[in-house]
Amino acid sequence: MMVPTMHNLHMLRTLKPMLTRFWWEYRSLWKALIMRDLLDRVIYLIAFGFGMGAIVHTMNGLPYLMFLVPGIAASTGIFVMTMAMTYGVWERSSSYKLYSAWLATPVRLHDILLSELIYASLRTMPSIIILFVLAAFLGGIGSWWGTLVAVPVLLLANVAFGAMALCFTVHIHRPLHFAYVNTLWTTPMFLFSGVFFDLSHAPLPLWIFSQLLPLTHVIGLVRPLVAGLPLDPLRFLIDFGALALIAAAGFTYSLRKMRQRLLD
Amino acid sequence: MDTSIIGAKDLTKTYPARNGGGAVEAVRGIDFEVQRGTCTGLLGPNGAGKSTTMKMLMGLTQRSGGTLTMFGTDVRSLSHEQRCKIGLVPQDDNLDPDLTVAENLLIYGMLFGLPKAEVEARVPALLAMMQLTEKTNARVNQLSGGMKRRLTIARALINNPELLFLDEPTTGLDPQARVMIWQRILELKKSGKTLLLTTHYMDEAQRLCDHIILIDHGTILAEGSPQELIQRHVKKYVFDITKPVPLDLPADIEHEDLGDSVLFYVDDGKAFRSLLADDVQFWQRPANMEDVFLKLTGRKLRS
Repeated sequence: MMVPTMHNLHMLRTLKPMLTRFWWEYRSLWKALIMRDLLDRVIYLIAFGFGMGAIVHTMNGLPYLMFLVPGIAASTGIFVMTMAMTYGVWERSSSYKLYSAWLATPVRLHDILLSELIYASLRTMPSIIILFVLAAFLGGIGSWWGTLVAVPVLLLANVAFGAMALCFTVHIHRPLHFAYVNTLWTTPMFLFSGVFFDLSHAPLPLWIFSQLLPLTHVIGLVRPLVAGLPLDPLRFLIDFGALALIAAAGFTYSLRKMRQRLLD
Repeated sequence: MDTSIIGAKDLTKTYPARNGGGAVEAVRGIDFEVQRGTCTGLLGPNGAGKSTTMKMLMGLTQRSGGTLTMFGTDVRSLSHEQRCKIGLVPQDDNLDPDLTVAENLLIYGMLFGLPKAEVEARVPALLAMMQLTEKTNARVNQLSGGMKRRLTIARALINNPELLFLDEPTTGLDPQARVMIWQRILELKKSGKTLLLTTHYMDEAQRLCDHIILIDHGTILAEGSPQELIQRHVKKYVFDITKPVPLDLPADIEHEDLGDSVLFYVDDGKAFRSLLADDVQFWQRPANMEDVFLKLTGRKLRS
């Protein structure tokens, strides 16, 4: 029999107040955060949905707008999570030294990083949901049920994106270096993961590159759901599992590195 | 009953070589104890190893060797309950800029596992004690430096700790704020709390501490009450004689050249004064911790 009760209880009594701290931060910032996260996405949706959509009517057999909506929804996490887990974590741990204030209480580093991840992943969701609702009015949603399933899938994807960004943050010594995250990570991911166009006919090296990008697989998961297309259950399970694995591995690795950095 | 609340034996800390720099031996085998209900001062020049010692005590950095116990337990395996008995005023005011003054205290109390209602009940008294009541709903960035410091001290008291670490509590504050904080610290001591304090102000150490541990280059140079240290390491009085110094003074009197004046350390102030002619400009004062500090650590500037 498992006897994890004591440990779990302890975990909760330190994780809960950490999450409360982030909730209070959200309480005072939510309007600004939703506006910031959402506006960006809406601009892309309008520019490509109607600009490009006027030329390209269908992509892969889908109305172009319906092709676009799941891609843009999935890419929200890449931007928001990367910002939160790079600059945000840096600010709290190095600039404001809040981590050492929190670590002087019974709170442990895993409580802090876990609540950072949970909070950032959750606060991205309102923007994604509003985006889906807007898209529905524009005719960009094929299946309501599918879209409903896509929401928790995107939540997991956010955790995975956040965990990957954390792995980068633990190796950075100057915040200036975060600029590389944009040029080497976010931007290529945004352009080569099939948000705007299908890459299956692209030159082979480019196609291979796109397959290496996690966002490609997240879009592979949610596009059929949102468009209401039949799912390949095996592929769904593999991609879903891969996301969970990335989230767990990224978290474990960054926790270990951050611990060395802060506490050694 | 054992009255020591902290015990360090052969405590060492070597920071690993990093970014091209070599390994740094910050603390090289120190032994000390902190007695319950006392205020102990950890003094030393910059880079002496004070902050590293403080960090090891707080579990904010791992020790490299030796033993370090708190409440009789290895600091690495303190229980949740034992952690809840500790408060920290860090060197930097690492307050939460996304929260208000009251929220900073509330969350901090909740991080100790205290119920929100219980913390809420404690906040007004702490804010009043630190004269911050008017700022209850202000954001941290609206506070002055002195207010931030006071809030940081209030935050360290939110869990009503038995043991309080104060890392340079009054650095950078104006004289009014320093006096106010001294009063609070003395009140805390009176209420039975155990305090461990680092400071660069020797008047502060002398005023607040029952016991002083003077460290430099990672080792303990001297230890004792301020009075003991003064008696042991310097003479009773200091005569600060403006140059030119009379040539007929006995050469064996301990003295130190400060540039435009010379300090003479003597036990018998009357006898020494009688040696000085009427036209000699001098200033006589009792020796203090500053004299001990400078004597033991030297006047050379540190990094």
